[in-house]
Amino acid sequence: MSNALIELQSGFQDYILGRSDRALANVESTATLSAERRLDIYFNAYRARLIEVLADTYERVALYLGEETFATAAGGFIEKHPSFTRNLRDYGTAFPLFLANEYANDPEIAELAEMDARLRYAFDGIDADALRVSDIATLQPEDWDTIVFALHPTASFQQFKWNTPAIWQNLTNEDAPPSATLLPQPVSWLFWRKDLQPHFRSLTHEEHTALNAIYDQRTFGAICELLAESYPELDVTTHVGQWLRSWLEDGVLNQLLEHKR
Amino acid sequence: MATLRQPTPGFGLGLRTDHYSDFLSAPQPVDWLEVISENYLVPGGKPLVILDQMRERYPLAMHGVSLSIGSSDELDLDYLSALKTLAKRVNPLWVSDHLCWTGIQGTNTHDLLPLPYHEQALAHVVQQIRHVQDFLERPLLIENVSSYVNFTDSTMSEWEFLRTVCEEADCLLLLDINNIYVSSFNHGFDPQEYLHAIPPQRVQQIHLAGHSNNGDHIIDTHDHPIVDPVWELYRAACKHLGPVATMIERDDHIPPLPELLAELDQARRIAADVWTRQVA
Repeated sequence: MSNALIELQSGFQDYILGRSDRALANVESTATLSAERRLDIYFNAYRARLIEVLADTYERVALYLGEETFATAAGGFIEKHPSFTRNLRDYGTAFPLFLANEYANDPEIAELAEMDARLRYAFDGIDADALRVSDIATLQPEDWDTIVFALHPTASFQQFKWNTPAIWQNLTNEDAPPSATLLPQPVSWLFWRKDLQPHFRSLTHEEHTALNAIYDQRTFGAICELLAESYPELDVTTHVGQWLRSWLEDGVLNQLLEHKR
Repeated sequence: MATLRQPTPGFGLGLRTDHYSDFLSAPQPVDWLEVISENYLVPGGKPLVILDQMRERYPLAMHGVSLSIGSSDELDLDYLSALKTLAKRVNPLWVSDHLCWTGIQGTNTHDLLPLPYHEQALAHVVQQIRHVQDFLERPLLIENVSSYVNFTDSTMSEWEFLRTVCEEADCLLLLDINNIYVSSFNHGFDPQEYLHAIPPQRVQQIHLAGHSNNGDHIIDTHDHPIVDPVWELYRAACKHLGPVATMIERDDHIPPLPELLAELDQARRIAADVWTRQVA
């Protein structure tokens, strides 16, 4: 490896990232274009490309903010966050956090960004077969206490303090979004992939507790105990039966991790 | 024995999401499709399902954008492993990427950045391509990129560099006719001189595309129809190269599929005209 090549590439990249003048000496000017203007083609293309990628991943944020405001926000992010990923798909995972700081007085924007990111993750996350009703049909009554379910690998949770899912829905339908409104209490939503499409729905505290316990790989018996302790008023048997049916029908579960007799 | 091109599969298009349903709902008049490898280097979900469905219907070529073969960084073995796994799934006609670098020191600009054309860069690229071919266990097609700068320490022309790379690395070429035209405009060289310096038996595939002319420079935007001077250069390429796989790339302002198919028919007509005369 020649030092000259490293030096040239380092200077060129520094120009793209921040107009460092080290590259200027390496680049020829033409009759009509200075070295600086020629390098600026790459400088500008870099920003345009990454803004486009962020606008694609965070599509509803782009709609919510409008093209110009989004480009300013994305441009600010890009200056602070060069890409270290091989695939553009993976660029911008820190954008929701950046927006949370940038728009501290409009927290629904960061929530909207996180929601876009979760749906993208659900879209092309890891493949796995969904657990079916027939997979658990052979379980004996004594098995239930010790079995451990696994969530589908695309499943994730997000807690919303604002009416962000309603904003997301209207933007998706190309309707005017409702005003951002603080919810009486935070609500958790489940995101996952079913039939190749991202899905999401709201969860009660109780169902979220149960799914979180599945995520933590607690046994089915331990989950029922946890629910009974946490929600003394809850008819655990009935609710868990209903949830389990819907999780199986919706492909939220992936497999039985453990099945001890 | 040198790696030389295989017989051409014919005329193809770059597969874009806008046209997924067109290609899956009915047979389309293309001989093959080129897919962007990175679009399918994902953990799972719909992209890979679509890819498998396309594979059942059309021969596919895999075209990458992030190999960064000319970077002074070491090759990214994780990326290469993922690419090899994808190639096993697709069983592509061939695998291609660009003669460029996309970043160094772990940073990625996600752009196809030009190299200086000198002996040190040549030796580096040749070694890198040989490593990639050994790793993938298949020949690699290397594509010439459009460029907007040239470097003061270059000691040879782009076409000398490209020809020497493919001969010394024993790889194949994906010759982008539009990129030759764009760079010839931006750097003031004769595109015919470039074209005729290319060894025909190394060229496995041709790219055609549109660009944006900004007056004092041209940008390779792939968002317009192919312009007449590029068609003329394609005609010259058909004469020089003989029968070679040709496809059209469109990455922005993507029109309905029939418009691209009509553009591909124009390529077919030009090629048929040239190749019929050659046989005669």
